[in-house]
Amino acid sequence: MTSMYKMTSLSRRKFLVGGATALATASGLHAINAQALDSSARIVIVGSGAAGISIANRLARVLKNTKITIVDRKETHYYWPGLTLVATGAWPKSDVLDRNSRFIPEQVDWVKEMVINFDPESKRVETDTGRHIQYDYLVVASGVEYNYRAIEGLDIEAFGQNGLASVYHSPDVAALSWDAIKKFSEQGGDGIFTLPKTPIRCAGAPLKMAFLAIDRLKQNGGFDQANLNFYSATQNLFGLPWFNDFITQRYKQEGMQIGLETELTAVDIGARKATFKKADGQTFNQSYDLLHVVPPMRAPSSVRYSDLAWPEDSAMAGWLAVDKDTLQHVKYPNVFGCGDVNGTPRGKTAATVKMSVPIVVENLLAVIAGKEPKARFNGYTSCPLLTKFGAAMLIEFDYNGQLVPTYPFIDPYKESWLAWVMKEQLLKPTYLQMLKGHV
Amino acid sequence: MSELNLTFFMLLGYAQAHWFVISLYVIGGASLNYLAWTQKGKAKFFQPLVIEQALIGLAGVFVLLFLTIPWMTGSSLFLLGYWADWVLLFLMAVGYSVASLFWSYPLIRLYHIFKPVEPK
Repeated sequence: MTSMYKMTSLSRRKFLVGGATALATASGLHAINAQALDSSARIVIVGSGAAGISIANRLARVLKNTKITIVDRKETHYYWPGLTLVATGAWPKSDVLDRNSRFIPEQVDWVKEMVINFDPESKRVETDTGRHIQYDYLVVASGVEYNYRAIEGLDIEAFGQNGLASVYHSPDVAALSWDAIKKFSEQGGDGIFTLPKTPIRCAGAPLKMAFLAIDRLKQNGGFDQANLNFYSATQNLFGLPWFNDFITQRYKQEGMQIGLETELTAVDIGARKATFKKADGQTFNQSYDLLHVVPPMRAPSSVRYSDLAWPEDSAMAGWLAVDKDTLQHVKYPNVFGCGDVNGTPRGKTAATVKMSVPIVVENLLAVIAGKEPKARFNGYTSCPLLTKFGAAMLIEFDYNGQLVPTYPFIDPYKESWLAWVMKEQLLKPTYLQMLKGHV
Repeated sequence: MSELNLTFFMLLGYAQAHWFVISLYVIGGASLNYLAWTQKGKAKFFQPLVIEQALIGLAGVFVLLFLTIPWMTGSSLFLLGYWADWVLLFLMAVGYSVASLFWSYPLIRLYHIFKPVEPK
């Protein structure tokens, strides 16, 4: 009876807070002040990609009185890590499409508009319908913007025709790209793969596309008639030296010519000619039967032209100015960033989102509670580098380029079927769990 | 601990993604076992002959799976070069073949109950 009496004497609010604390502990959110859990603060999350939805789910689970708003018009959720498999014919397009409504929690207010302006001084965002949304805390997770226009003559509508392909734009374009790659793999010809000099989402994707296209060429009979080139606008193909050497050597074994510090600047779609600019300023034209375009990428214009971006003289100019360890904005402590939009040294991958979401949530709750953010992100990112259909290398590393394998028994230096199974069978279910705020 | 958490949610997510097949497997297997259990055969549910035949079937399923799982995942047995690949393949083949007993055992048991009596 005594315990029953004690139970009923608990106020509902305390009970909820207690329950939330237990959930928070179970979720790995340590030492969260009850003040944060009981807060009636307004939190706005900009972006309904992997980071935005995952953060919304985690916050909604522990914050019962907080008004959480997601601002993004997108209703279809893209499983971006699967696009390499769509663009190489391994998956149908439908495998990478889902509905955001399946993952956004009910208690979260979903504003189906796009943010066009951030006003961090007034703590509000403006949407493309003219609506102003006030916030106490802001999470920017608005992803990247593909700058195809930087390549003169490129027409997005032309993908899939005239040998033009790109894994990045969308699942539709990835599927169209498979049409172009399939034709090339049957007939051979001049194939060109590119890499821009800007930071890009999933830096391994262009490399995977080349590896898998080579495999398709061998499967479909076009390999002997193929002349392959890979042009990177940077000084290498991959950021980690050992893997860069491995990839370079493997490409050369397959007869692929590699040009470094060579940037795709223009395309003549009708004539199937691509123009490249070298580091010394020289330009040259090259005809192609397949051109795989990786667009330069940048933060969305709403971030780029706001006070939230790194300034022009910064190495990460235009990207969201967050501290690389806490992911808190360097100027506005009530603002956090997560995902591809962050101006941090490495990692624009779903794996980075997976590991940084708990950091953002923990630090945000600490700030709400009036404490200093203490959780530190090590820059984890991961690249399941598909070297052929059926084999991959699971490369996981941090800001410093140090390998940080999740499973010690998986050797990142070895190609394995195990890594392929993880990529092809297990990563998507894991990703969906991440969206729900688990993992 | 993070790898345990990841593994748990990876497998949970995989199970959720294949809920229909798993449901079919569980409901079908449970129904077959119920039928086999409630049929009035002369012998008990667990009989040496049925166990022996089920184990032979299990071995056959194991060999078949060991040879075909890489192909079913879009790969090939020839691409397995890392020791962890062989361990994973062995565990998957063992796991699925043991799971197949849930259907094969009651089916064999039902066969022995309903098989036509051979003329002497």
